[in-house]
Amino acid sequence: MADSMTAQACPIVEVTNVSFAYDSTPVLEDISLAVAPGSVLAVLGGNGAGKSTLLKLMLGLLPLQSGRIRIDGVDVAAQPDEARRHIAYIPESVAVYPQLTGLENLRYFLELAGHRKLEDARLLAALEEAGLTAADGRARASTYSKGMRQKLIVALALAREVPLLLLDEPASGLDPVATAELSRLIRRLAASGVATVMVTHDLIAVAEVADELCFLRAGRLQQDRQLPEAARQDVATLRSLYLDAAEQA
Amino acid sequence: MTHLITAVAGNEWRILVRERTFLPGAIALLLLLLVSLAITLERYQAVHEKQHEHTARADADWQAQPDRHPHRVVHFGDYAFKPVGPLAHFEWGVEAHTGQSIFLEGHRQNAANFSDASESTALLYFGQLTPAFVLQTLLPLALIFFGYGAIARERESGLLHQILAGSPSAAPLLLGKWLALAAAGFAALLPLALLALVAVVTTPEHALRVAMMLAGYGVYVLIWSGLIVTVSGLARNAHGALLGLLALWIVLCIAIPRVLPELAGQRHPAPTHVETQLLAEAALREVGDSHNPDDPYFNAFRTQTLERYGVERVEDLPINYGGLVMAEGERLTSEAYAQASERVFGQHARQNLWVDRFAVVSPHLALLQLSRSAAGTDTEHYIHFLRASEARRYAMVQALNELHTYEIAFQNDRDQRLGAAAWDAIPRPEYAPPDARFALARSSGALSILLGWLLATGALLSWLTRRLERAHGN
Repeated sequence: MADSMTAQACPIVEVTNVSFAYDSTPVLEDISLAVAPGSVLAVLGGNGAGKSTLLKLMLGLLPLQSGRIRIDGVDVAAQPDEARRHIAYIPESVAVYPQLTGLENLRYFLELAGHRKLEDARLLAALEEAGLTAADGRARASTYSKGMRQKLIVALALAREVPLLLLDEPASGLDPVATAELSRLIRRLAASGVATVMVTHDLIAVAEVADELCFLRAGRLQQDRQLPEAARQDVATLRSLYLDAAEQA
Repeated sequence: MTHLITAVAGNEWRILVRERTFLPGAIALLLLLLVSLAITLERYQAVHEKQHEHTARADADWQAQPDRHPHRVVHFGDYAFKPVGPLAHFEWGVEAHTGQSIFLEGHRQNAANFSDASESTALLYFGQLTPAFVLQTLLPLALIFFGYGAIARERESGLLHQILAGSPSAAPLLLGKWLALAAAGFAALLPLALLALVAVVTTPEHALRVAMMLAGYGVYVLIWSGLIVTVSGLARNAHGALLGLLALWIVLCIAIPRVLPELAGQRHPAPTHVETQLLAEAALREVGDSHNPDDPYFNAFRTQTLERYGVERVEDLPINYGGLVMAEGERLTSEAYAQASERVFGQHARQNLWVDRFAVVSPHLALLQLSRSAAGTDTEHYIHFLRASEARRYAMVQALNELHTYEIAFQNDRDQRLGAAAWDAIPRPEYAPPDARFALARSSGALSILLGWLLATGALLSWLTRRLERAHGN
């Protein structure tokens, strides 16, 4: 479960009683959740439900107004820089330097994240693990598709060896093949112990990768649910769960 | 922090050289620099040779004078040349319009001759293509095209958000981009640095001037690089950044440097050379006319002279009265011209002061002043040459008048001659330009303005850092 009561003893993500408002408009109200190592939490919700705000709070990109968020034991409000060292963030629209090769992009992003120069072999291994070939790594990123750009950022997460992956609408704009590849990649990372939080309203992606679900509606967290086995390969079941949650709100 | 800055700078360089616009832009700039260098080096060589030739000819003509009356020598005249310093071929300054040689003769002050403006139609139409112009005006433009997207393009693509989400601070990002763009600017200064090295090796006394010039251009590149990164960081997109920077370039490099001197000229108008001549002649007429036998001033002068020597007639004087009149007339003429000239110099000084006061609004104008001053081609150096030439002219003419007074008898004055050896004793000192401290004193204000701009640019970048960090929650 993605609930603090039921998550494992040392969760990677701990969100406790978090509320947030833009000016006087409440966006999140009393949110609490937890994500254990190796678990994939999908945060579902319609447009304006507060999903992206929740991600930004986890990243420390917005000031916490109430409650507490800890990432791998680090308090985000107190040590946002340190907390970000434990996170790989993949935005909805992944951007890379088109003038640079995949390898050069990877090395530069690693340097910005505070890593000293890593050997090409290690970077290539990360790229291959993320599903890109050595030839891809040596090609200019201007030739990359969106799926390849996402894999490049996943490779960055692998090279950084972070315990948490934050995904913002990861399947947006991907074709089914690329979506399936990304899902396999996320599952492989989860198998190695990486916790994942993905905010999305893409039910197919959720069905393919999520272990746990939570629904956000008008800033409130609906009842958290373990993803039923039936819903794993069945989007119709998932849709029904989604609509149930929406009605309960 | 340092390794992050160098990482960002290295990455920026890699991106810059792979941009489609970089190579053509860099080649165009390099070509312009080389062409301007070739033009100015050729000009330098030509001016140097011409001065050398004219000096040799003037010396030979002076030495070849036959036995003649000293007053004939006064009208035979001489030339003073302003030597072209090693940095003058980099920065022509006002010399293209003022000239570098003056014909020295009795009874009048002449203007400088052999200016490039008087010899070149192209210059009158198109202005000067000098390395200084390329670096002062075109280099900022090239840097704008290289760097306008430094941050704006990353904001547009989402990279900025992505990078700042994973970085502890925006400072290394901005500093690295500043450093990378400045490095491109410094690369364009390499030809200047090489010339400076040659100048220091061949003429060590110019080391301070070279240091001033290099420091000025280095700071200028840092200022423009910082401004470009700042505007790029403030703009919503790359298009907006480019438009904003082009507007800034037009104001700082084109409009202000042309409008301010024009306004200064209107506010403190200086008479033209012809007007100065007319003013001096009018003043002279009021004092006295040595050629008019009934002139009250010279009648009084004759009476005083006769009383001093205790004689009744000028014919009885132990000296040649004609020579005394010439000397007195020259003294009066020189005073009248000096007053008229100082009035012009005063107006020039007031114009410069007025421009200096407002130069704070444009680093281009401050660099222009610093560069010309260091090269020895600004108005102050020109005025120094005019004053030194006038002093030489006066000394030469009065020495000849002294020969006239003491070596030529009053009777049959015009029929007498002096031997050619007499002309060797006439002072003909070569012009010695002022040392570098003169230039430093003149340009300390401009240097302060440039440093002020650099500090302001640093403050802007610091403010932008905080703004970006706030916007991305760092």
